[in-house]
Amino acid sequence: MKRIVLSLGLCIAALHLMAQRVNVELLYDKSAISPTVVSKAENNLRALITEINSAYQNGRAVNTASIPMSDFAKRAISMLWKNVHFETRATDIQDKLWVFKRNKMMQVMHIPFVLRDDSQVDGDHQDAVVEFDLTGRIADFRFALDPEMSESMENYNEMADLENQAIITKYVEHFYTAYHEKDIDFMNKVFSDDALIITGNVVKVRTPEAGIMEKVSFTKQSKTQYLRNLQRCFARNKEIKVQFQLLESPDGRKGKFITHRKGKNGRDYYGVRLRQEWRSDRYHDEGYVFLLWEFPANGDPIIHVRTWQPEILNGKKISYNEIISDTDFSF
Amino acid sequence: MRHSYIILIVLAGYLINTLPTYGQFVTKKFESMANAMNISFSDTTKTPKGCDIDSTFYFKGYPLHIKKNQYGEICHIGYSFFSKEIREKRPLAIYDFLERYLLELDLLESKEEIRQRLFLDNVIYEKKPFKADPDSIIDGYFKINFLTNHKYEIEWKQGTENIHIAFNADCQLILGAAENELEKILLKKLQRVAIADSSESDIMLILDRYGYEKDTLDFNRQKLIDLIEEECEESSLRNKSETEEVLFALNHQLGFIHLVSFKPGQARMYAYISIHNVPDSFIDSLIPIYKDILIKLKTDEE
Repeated sequence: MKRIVLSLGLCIAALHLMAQRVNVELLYDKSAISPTVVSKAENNLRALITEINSAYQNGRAVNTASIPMSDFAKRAISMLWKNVHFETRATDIQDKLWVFKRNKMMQVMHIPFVLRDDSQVDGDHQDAVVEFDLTGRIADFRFALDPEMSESMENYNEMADLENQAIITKYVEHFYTAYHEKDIDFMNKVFSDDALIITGNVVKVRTPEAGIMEKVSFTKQSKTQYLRNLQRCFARNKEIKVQFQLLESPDGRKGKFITHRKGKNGRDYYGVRLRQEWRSDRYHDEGYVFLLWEFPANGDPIIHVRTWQPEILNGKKISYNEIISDTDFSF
Repeated sequence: MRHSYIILIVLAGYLINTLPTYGQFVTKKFESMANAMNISFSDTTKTPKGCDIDSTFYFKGYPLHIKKNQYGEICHIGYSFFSKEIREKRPLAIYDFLERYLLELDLLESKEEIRQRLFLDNVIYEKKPFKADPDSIIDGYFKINFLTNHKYEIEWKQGTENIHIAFNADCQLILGAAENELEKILLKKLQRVAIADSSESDIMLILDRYGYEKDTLDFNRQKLIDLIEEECEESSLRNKSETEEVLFALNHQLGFIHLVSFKPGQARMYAYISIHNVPDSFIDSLIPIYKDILIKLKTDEE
């Protein structure tokens, strides 16, 4: 009887230690890849998840020796495991399989894991990204967001930020295409009705200390005035081509060229500083432009502020901090 | 159900034909070049689709290189500078540009017009009197330098002359169409795919275009990925939230990015985002292997 109780106890313990079987289903397009390959990818992913869960529950290292994986993916898991342990509590995993034929890889983006660090406390829920080669072998394993980062949302926001920057670049490009196309209708749509347009002109002034100096004199225009002047400019020039270079803040995050501010009205505003080179058959100038954009949730992006100042003053390039920015305005 | 599919296909076909096209030409520029040379390409209707036409048309006694796409439209007109062998040995997107742009300059009437064109396009090129010498480029010295600030510098020997041209890796300049025209060409391409695969659609695709235009198409997600991979060398799919992904696809030679934001059942695309006017570090954050691409380009040169 004692032996039976002991065996039963061992069975229960073994069952407890054995990770629960996970079902994996990858949703794919049949025209992109064969069902056999997808089936292999599903099996390999299932084997990996089961082994990760088992390692987590038994407090041991992940053993990837028998799982069809690249050395790169094996190293990736071993490196991750050194810093953080993780398991999935889902029993049925269903995810889209993205097939990139040219890059010879397939990818799943949302394999849900719960992370646990040395404090043994459950941490973030994080999605793992798993890559496969075109035979279904696992090629890479990583977390969608940096697991070292305590606030996942911060990381998600960073991605949204990159996306916003790319979209703003596209809209700045649209804005300059409108000059090339002499498209006054677009200009009318892109500027908000109460847009503030400020243009700087270089004037020479005599000062008792330094003699003749260059100074920027700013002129404020309303949308109507600016569009009227622009229409004249379009008529005068056969062709206009404006090139721009978005400027990265020298002390900000690498690659970041927009500033984001919430207005008093709760709406989101984005500022960009750029170097503009105006080329037309009659005129050429180089200067710095600041654009304040709003991307309304249910509307088209619009410009609230546009400023221009010369690139060179008194023989010297003006510095990044001298370029007008959102901090010069209250909104 | 079947009838409604037929109606849908007929309607979609009608919509495609009503899109602005330039007759048998893919871009407005090719149409105006053909007109300026007074060449009619109607004889090329017998040429198979997706083929090159060499040594059939001449300008100032020099053979032209004409290409037709898979739909039979003229998608390249230029001097016949680069042989098939060169193109296959080292495939580069700028061969067509050089062939077309130098022909474009020769179509201008005066030195002043050429100076003005180069100035507006921000291209540095010393115009030499053209000498017909079909083999001079491909057999002689030809060096391409892709600079890290998204600029090309190209040198070659033509006859006894050393020729130098420098320009931005700007997709609008290289492809010879403004962004709004490139977007319309892409829309037409997307519509053709959407019609061919109308029964397989699984997402609603919105193409965000110049002038606040938004075109909605029923599309197949995988077909969209295939089409983007055709146009771009590298892509990076990233998670935006637990249910949303963002795809950044890069064509570094032509200098653009396609961005597609995926939500469940929906995708929004922003096409031809130029990269020659954004900081390199930004492209680095979008495409993790961007630095490797630049290093590879440098190695290729050496």
